[in-house]
Amino acid sequence: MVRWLLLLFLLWGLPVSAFAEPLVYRGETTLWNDTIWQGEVLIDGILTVAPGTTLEIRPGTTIRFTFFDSNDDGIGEHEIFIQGVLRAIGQSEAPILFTSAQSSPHPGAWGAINLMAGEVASELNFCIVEYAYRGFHSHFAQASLQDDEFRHNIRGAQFQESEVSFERCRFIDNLNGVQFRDSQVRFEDLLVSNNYWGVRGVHSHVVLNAGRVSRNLVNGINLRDCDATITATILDHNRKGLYLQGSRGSVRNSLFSGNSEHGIYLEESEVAIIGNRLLDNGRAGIKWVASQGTLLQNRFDGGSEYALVNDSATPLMAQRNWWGSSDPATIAVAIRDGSDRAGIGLVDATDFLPAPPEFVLSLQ
Amino acid sequence: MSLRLLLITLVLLLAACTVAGPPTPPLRQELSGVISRDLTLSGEILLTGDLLILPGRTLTLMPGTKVFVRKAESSKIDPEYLSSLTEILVRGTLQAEGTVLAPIFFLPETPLAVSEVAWAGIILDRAGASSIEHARIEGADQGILSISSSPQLLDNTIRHCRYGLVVQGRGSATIHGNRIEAGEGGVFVLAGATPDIADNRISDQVEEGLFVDAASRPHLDRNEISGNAIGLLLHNSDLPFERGGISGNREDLRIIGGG
Repeated sequence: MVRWLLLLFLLWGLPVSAFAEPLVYRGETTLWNDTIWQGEVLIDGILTVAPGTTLEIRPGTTIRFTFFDSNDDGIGEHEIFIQGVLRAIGQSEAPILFTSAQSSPHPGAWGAINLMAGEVASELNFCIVEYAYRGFHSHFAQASLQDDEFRHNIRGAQFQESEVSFERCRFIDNLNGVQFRDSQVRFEDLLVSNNYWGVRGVHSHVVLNAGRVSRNLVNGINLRDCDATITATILDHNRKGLYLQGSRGSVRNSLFSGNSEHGIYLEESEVAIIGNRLLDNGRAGIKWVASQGTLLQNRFDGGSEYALVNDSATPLMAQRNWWGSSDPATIAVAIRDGSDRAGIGLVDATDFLPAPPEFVLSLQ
Repeated sequence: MSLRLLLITLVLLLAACTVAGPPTPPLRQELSGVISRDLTLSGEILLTGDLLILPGRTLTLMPGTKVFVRKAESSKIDPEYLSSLTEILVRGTLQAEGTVLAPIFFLPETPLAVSEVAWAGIILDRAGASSIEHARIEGADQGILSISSSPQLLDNTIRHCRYGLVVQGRGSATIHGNRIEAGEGGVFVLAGATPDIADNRISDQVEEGLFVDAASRPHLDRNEISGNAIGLLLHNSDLPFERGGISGNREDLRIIGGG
């Protein structure tokens, strides 16, 4: 009996929402002490987690946000600001859900999970974030996101001046999947599909391995003035697969298939493109505009208006690639360069591979 | 009236004109931001930034309206908008119905070099029942981009745009009687689009006149396609089209892939 009384006393003292359903925060509220959420939480205002404070969210918790639109722009403004630390650690069978309190919500029905200038990395694992303006949003912060899904948001994730790592995260049916600037970003086993913009970054350092970027309406991945390392990734059925502007880096062992316009579009970039497979991209496998770099051991399997378009004034060395044929005349037709248009550099593809190199990734 | 009196009257009239000076250009109404209630505009408009028409709202431009677009050098990547350039983004309804005698103009504020792009264009994104008729659109990245919308695009002239007209996704756009001239590419049909494209004249594009990707099934009829690098490019060999109007291109027809 004493043990039960003791347990009851301990539970009474904990700031846990498990037995108070739902826990409601109205107006502008600040958490000054470490807090644990479990069960149902309703945010009817703007909630701030103060510096030095940790908000822990337990598996299976649902956090709902009411709709409030002060300026009639259709965007909800109720949200969370984390100035301390967020530890939202769900489980695969019991994810944490961040969603709208509306019965038929629209993208942008609430604001964001905002991380602001935290000194300790926040974590979101096995979370589902939906119908937000910015699902995940950070400034000058560090975060690790694993096994999360961002869906039906205006921006799935947006961050500036941050260091963010994504593992096994999915961005599906947002207007923008992921957008960032001036950040360090690492994507591992990423899925970005059915967004308008897939991944869109500026002035950042990006590492992407083993992802799939598929069926995004504008571009799959669009990086401007970035350092990018992309490996073993599938980019398929976007308008453009990968669009690099003023960027540097490498693209290796990746598959570019079924993109309406271009598999890879390079503009004023310096990139090593090695060991990739490109097929069925509408206008060109690769469009090379005022760029420099290496084009080596790639496999162009046809289905495109051109395998390669050089729109630079300078010549382009494209050795040891497979062009879908070992007939030099057929290869010449697959490449558009200075032999087709005045003022454009020639592509040297004379040392071509006589057979397609082995390639592992497939759309299956 | 004597001849002398007539001459004096004429001199006085001319003097009056000289005193009045050159006619003052009509005031341009500046416009940008979010349109959250129905709005009708006419005269001269200066678009100083992005314009978003919210779902359920209508912007009506009267015949003869001239929209001048200020060029934006921006790095913005806001998702409410689809381009880093100045754009007219229609999620509600745009009624821009000019006439033969009073077309509606969408022009860069200042003249451009031929290959230069000043603004993003008109973007219909899951828009309401919009119509753009007898309009003249110049200097845009994409003259008109229709995403999952069903607009009436009739008798417009789209010149010096990088892409003249792009149709993406679901919806049933009607594209009749337009002239798409002197851009990089004319009409692009992408991502499962099924527009009705008839009686258009697509000419003098640096690259493709009419491009259809593998996922799209437009209805093509009586289009004149000439003076382009490639006249018609199809990724479906079983898509019906009339070959008669496709001539005088560097390469009239290219079909890639199977049906």
